[in-house]
Formats: sequence, C-alpha cells, structure tokens
Amino acid sequence: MATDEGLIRNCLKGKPEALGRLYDLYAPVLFSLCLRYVPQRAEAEDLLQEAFIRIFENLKRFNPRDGGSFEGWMKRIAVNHALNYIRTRNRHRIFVESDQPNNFPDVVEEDYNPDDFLANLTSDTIHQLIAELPEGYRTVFNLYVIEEYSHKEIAELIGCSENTSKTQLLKARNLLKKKISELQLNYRYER
Amino acid sequence: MKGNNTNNFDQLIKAKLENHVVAPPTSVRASFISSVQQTKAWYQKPAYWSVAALLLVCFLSCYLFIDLSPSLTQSSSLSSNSNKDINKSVSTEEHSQAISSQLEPEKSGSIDVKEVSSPAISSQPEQANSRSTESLNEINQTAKGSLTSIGVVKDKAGLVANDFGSDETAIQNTNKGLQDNKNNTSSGLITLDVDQKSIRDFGFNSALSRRGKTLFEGYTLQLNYRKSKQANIFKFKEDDASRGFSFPRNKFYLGVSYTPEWMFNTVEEDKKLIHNAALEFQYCWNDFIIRTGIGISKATGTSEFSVDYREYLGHYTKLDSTSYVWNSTQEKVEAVYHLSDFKVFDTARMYAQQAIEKEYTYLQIPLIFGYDFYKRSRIFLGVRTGPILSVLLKTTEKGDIDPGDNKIISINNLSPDRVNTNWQFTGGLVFGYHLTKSFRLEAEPRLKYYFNSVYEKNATIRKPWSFEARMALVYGF
Repeated sequence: MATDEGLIRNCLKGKPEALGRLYDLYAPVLFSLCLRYVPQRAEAEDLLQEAFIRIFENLKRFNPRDGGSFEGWMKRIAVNHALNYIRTRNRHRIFVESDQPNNFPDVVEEDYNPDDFLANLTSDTIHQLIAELPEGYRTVFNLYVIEEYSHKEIAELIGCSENTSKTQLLKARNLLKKKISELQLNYRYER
Repeated sequence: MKGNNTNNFDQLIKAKLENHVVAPPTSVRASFISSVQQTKAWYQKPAYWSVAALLLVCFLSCYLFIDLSPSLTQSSSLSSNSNKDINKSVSTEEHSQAISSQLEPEKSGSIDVKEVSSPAISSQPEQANSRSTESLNEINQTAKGSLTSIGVVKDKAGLVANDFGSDETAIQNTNKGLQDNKNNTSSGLITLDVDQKSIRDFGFNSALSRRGKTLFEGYTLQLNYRKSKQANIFKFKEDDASRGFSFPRNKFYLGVSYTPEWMFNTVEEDKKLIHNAALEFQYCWNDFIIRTGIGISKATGTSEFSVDYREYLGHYTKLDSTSYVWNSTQEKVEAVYHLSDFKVFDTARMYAQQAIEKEYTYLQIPLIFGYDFYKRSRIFLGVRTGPILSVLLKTTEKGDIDPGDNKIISINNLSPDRVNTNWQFTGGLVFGYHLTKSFRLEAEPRLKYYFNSVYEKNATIRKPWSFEARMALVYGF
C-alpha cells in the first residue's frame, strides 16, 4: 500500500517513469479485464488506454483510507468504462439477449459436474470460453461471478431488471458449462 | 446440491481468472504516457489564458471607449475641477471668503459672476440684500445667456456650482429660491432655498435633508463626478437623438454572421479551426432577445487508414495460344502469338498507414437567448446563451488511397467517423454598435461545450469544447 501511495504521488506529479511503472504494474491485469468485456483485441486496447487515462484523471480522488485496494479501485473504473463503451457502441444500451426459445442454450444435466475438468483447464482457455459467450451473457456473468456485483447493482449498471440479470446469468452459466463439456468430449476423443 | 455446484463452479472460474493477465502491446503504453503528459491542469493550458485575456481586453476596450471618450473626459475634468474649487472654498470657518472667492469668475471656471462681497452683506444687511439680489439676478442672466450648463445650489453652509446639463428649470428654481430668501440673510451668509429636485443627484439631497444633514457634509467628489458624468451622458444621448438615433425597442432583425471556431479535445489536434456562417433571425423585446437561424459549418479532419497489400515485384508475359495465318503478299504462313501479361506480387502481406483529408459540412440550427444589460448611445453589451443543433450533411474526401502497382488486400479505417447529430451549448458576451438606426454590428466572443463527442467511436475521453468569435452584420426592420 505504501508503494502504491508513493507511486500515486509521483504519478500526480506527472513523472513519466512513475506513469510507466503504474502501467507496467497494472496494465496486464486490466487488459485481461478489458478483453473479458470486449473480446476484440483492437477495441480492448483502446479501452485499456482510455481506462488508464481515466484512472490518471481520478487519481486525486483515490483515498487508501477508504479501505479499498488500489487495484480494486482501478478495476472498478475499468469495468465502468468498459460498460460505458459497450453502451455507446450499442447505441446507449447493453444488448441483453431476448428470451426467445431458440436462444436458450441446451439444458445441462443437473448431475453433470464439470468442476474436475474445469480445475484442469488453463485460465487462458476459460478466458477464451467466456469471450465466446454472447455479449449480454458475458457482461452479466463477468459482473456477477468475477466482479461480485449483486443482481440489483448489475440491473442498475446495465439498465435491465433484476430478473433479467438472473436469467442472463443462468443462461451464461449453462452455456459455459455446455462449452466446457464439449471441450471435455473433444479432449476425450482426441485421447 | 445444485446451488453448491453452482457456487463451486463460480468460485472455480473466479479463482482461475482472478490472477489472469494478458500482456498488452507496447504501443498502448507509449500512447498512454504521451496522452497523460498532454493532459495538463486547466491553469497550465494556454487556451484558457488566451480566452481570459481576450475577454479582459474586450471588457477594458468597451469600458475605456465608453468612459474615456473625449467629450466625457473633458466635461468630467472640468466639472470635477470646478467642484473641487467650490468644495474647497466652502469650508465652514471661512464662509464669507468662500462666497467671494467662489464667485470669482476665473476660479469657478464656468460661472460669470462679477461682484458679491460678503463683508458688505454682513455689515449692512438691508443693503446686502438688495446687492445680493442684483448680483444673483446677474448670475441668473449670465447663466441663461452664456452657459449651457449651470445649476446653482445654495445650502446653509455655502454655494456650489455644478454642471448638470442645460437645465432651464434649475436656473429658474434657483432664481425663485433667491427671490424668496432674500430676506433670510443673517450673520453674513446668504441662505437660499433651492428646489433640490431640479438636480439629478440620485436622491442624495433629499435623503440628506431628511436626516437633518447639510448637503456638504455628505457630498463627495465622487458624487459630483457621477453627476457630471450622467449629465454628459444625457448630452451624448441628446446629440444622438438630435441626429435621429435612438435605441429601437421591439424589433425584428435579420443578419448574416461569420464565426471562426477553435475546437479543443479532438482527435485531430492540428485541425482546430472550424468555419461557421449563418443567416440569423432575431427578435428583440426591450432588453431581451431571442435568436435562431440556419448555418453551415465546415470542419476538416484527417482519416487514417491501415492498408494491407502485397508488393508489386514485376510482370511476365505468358503465351496463351498460337495461331497461323496465310500472308498472301509474302505467300507464306505466319504465326500469331496470343499473349497475356501477368503481374507478380510478393506473397508476404505488407502493412501501411495512409491519411486522407476529409471535409465535414454541418447544418447548424441555434436557439439563442440573450439579455442586453448595458445600452448607452449606440453601444450595447449583453449576454447570449443557448443550444445549437448540428447535423452532418456531407463528408467529402480530399484525395484517395493510391496503392501504385501494389495489390490492396484490405483497407481499415483507423480514425473514428463523425456522428451525424450532436448538440452543443454556447454562451458568451456580445458587443454591439449601431451603425445606423437599422444596421448594427455585433461581436460575440463565446465558449461552446459539446454535449456528446463528435466522433462515432469514443475516441477521446473528454468532451470537445471550443472558443469562437461571432461577427455579424444585422439589419433591423
């Protein structure tokens, strides 16, 4: 924390080496976050740069005594910026998939437990699988599972009802499990 | 059980991704650092200081133009000097000397008074009365005959001459006061009851008399200065009125304007200048105005493209077929070769960036509200504010991507396109000058804030803003 405070102070003074250090420390984590929300690499790069500029602009407002970690604070800014970006790109709303029957993913058997296989998967693979989810599913899944927002907060953030958020999460989870099981089958087949 | 499975699943995913990192390209780092270094505090930006300096210069110019115009300066100094002399002369301990010295023509500067001597008045009241009446009548006549601006105020403490404009009533009231009070002379002092309403003094006289104070206790040079200034303004207005000019009240105006605009927080840092021209309709209601119209705005920008291509290496000729024809002249068979030309490109894909100038034409519809807080003579100052709607009409590309002999595989636009519609809010000061009763010139430095980015992609974090200077020629109906 002390290191972060020193780094923040130097960044606020506009020292290029401090800015570089800030970027080097946190850019990989934030780039991974950006890619989770916007899988297109070029867009994610733009998003990362803009998020860093926003972080820099708001550095004065970060107070370590508020209890939050610096990394968590930066992640929140990046998430908010990513959501804004998606909203702007989609003409001011985050596209949430409609409840058309043909949009439902196949129901995964209840007794199916992909956890064992999941534990063996690399984080890159899981990242890739999440990136393949439809935008609405992906956004809600990221917010709920990774960022640990509540459904109420998600509903406020993306402008939908709590029930829609819950449905989207359920569908995202099922689709992800299906993708993992397909991956598992392919893996067995290859063996 | 299902809930547990779900929780485990979520926990596993979270645990896997919590420390997941992806290295971003180095170009992002460089552009982040450069853009942060360009982001300075507002007081470090020369643009803000330029705008502030410009506004200050405009204000000062107007103030100096109005307040220090030659006629005002001359009159003010004259009046102020005479008042100084007079005030100086009426110290309470030297009343009699004050009166006599004050009435000396060379000291008063603008009053032609010949003989009033206080010792005579004090020693022989009856005679003094008659003499003072004569002298004061003389003052009156002189004032009527030679001075265009004289008012005489006499209170118990002394006598003051002021420059209030050509006010006939003041002179008459003075005369009346002198006549009524010619018997009130006592202790060597002339007591005059002048109708104080005849003096445009912002109600100071009456306020002071209500409090039982004399005029000289409360009067200062500043008030005299104000009086004289106001008197000159009246004169100024009268001059204008005599020349047939007066501020129009409820009127329709039609005008043309040109507004250069310098825009900030844009992607193209070197393309700040925008040209705006408009046809405007204005309606004035007393000091309030509402303005709308239709305008054209021309902005330029640079679009960068990434071009994937294969490099041209050369060409070869391929024989497609051969045919034979009979040459009857030479009586022999000749071969005719059918050839095709083929270009050869490198198999490696090359990448290049190319920029093209673009010109954007917008239709602008403003709705401006205003208030003129200062109107004097032909000049007026006011504030103007309101929204402007911009609609992108046309985008013209100046030039084209020239690949040469190379083979283009794909072209991607790197620069964001402009949005079709955006809203702005503008506010500023207007400085106007009436050339004639119908025509007037307006200069309006103002700031404009864009509610949304002008780019389709959120290319810049900050919303654009601009400084512009509107210049208009307006005709009133």
